[in-house]
Amino acid sequence: MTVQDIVRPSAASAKTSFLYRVDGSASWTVGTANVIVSVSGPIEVNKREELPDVATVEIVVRPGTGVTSTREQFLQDRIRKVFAPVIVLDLHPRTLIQIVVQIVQSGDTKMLNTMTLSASINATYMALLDAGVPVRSTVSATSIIYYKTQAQTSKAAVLIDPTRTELERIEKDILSVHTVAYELKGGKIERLLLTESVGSFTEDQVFECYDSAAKICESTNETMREAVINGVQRKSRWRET
Amino acid sequence: MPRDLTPSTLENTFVLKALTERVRLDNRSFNQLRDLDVSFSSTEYGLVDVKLGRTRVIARISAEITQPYPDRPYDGLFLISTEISPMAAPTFEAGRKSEDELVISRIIEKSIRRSGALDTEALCIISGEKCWAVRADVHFLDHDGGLLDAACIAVSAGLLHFRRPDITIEGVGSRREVIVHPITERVPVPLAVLHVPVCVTFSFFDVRKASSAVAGVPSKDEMKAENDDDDIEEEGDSSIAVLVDATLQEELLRHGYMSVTANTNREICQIQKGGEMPVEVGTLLSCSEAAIIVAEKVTKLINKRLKEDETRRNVGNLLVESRAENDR
Repeated sequence: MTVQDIVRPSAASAKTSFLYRVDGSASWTVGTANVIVSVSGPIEVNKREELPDVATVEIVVRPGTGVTSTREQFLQDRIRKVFAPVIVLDLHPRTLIQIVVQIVQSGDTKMLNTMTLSASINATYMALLDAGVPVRSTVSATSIIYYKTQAQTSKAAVLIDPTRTELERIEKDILSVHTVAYELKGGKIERLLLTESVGSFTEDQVFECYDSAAKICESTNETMREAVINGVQRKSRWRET
Repeated sequence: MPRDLTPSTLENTFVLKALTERVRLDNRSFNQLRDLDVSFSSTEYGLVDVKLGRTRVIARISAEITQPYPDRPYDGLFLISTEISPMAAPTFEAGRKSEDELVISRIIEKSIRRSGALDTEALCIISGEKCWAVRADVHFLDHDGGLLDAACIAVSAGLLHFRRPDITIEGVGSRREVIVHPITERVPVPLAVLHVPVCVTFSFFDVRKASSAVAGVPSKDEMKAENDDDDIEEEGDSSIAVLVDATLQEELLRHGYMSVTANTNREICQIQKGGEMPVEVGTLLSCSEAAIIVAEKVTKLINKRLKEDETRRNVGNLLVESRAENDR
């Protein structure tokens, strides 16, 4: 199966700069997942958490429904790992970059975290841009799911960034779930930042997955660019005479 | 974390002085609400986004099956969570309950849970064994004052919008089974909402403090206030300004407040008065009347949006759209 066969079922959309009390805000909607992220920073930091040579990054993940559980801890950890090499922390020592990820709709079924994770990563990146926090490169993430179908028993079928309905439909046949995040420069893939793979899959499958994810992340990057252009145009309206 | 949001003396003086001239900084009248918008999600039941001016709040209603409390076997569970994250404002700390949060959670508790807005007996499935546990999670996205009012509207609207899965009980006695039908199989069921509580917060300002704060200001007697028939304190004490739906700045500068929760049955669900300022009884009674008027307006808006949402969802649904009568 080539990348051309894979069709992205739903387009992602982003909104920025809609919260007034924080420095930057963004929302990312893909499939049925909807995540809002706010970024404040660099701001004052508690003496306990102050770091002498770099900025402290605080990431708070709040679920849409229910109490905070280990799932939010997991998301927080992965988001931190993705952005640690991306944010230029040594430009603002002894300050705090506060990131709050509010999951509005997880877009996942009960057992999965992938849509929430990839949407959170994309939303966090857009919010960091909106807040003007210095970052080294673009980040984008996607979710890829392999599942078995009645038709092809030898080759697995693929879903990219699916909706919750699609996930529920194939839930029992899921083979493996992959969340992949790439770092991009100039719209082209640079480094792989994150891979979260759960399930059983072959080596060929996972490398094919990385290749597909690379193409998808490049197109996600285009979506982000458009959102940023729209945002800047909106904010520059006062310039028009 | 940044320190608290104490406003400057200059702001304090300016706002108070403006109030003596019956002017609010955003040019609203004293009992005018900010622009209120209630929008329901088209993909998820029980997800509502409320905007009250710049204040923005999202509520999510969810339900799952659990065991009822042993001392209340015929009632289901209903929990409201109103945690404030640093997204609302960086002055809120994650994991730490601020004073604002405690007040909001108490008043929401009284307004919605204790007033019986949701019929918990209707949540019982098998008495003593299984019941629905309904959960309302309020997420505060943007703090510009009125978090309590917005949260109350959001939860009330959410409870009206939410649909729980339909269930059937099969078998008898101890071998009873509860079958939960997914929403793709059977149309989900609304909750039993008995009334729609709406909370309105009134902020009190002692305007006598204004003239002492600013030098060279003519005394209160020399200033003729415009004749505004709607204002609450017209017949009462004119040294008190009563503002409805304060912005964050007004909230931080007020001398006292009262939150009244009312519904369209002209019932007062709860009253909470705080701050250090004594207020005449007549003023408090007028506030309660005003709260009922606001509750009617807000309930009307919620119902209008609910109808619009239902129409959007039912487009193409022939079963709903079909009927036997002819167009006349």
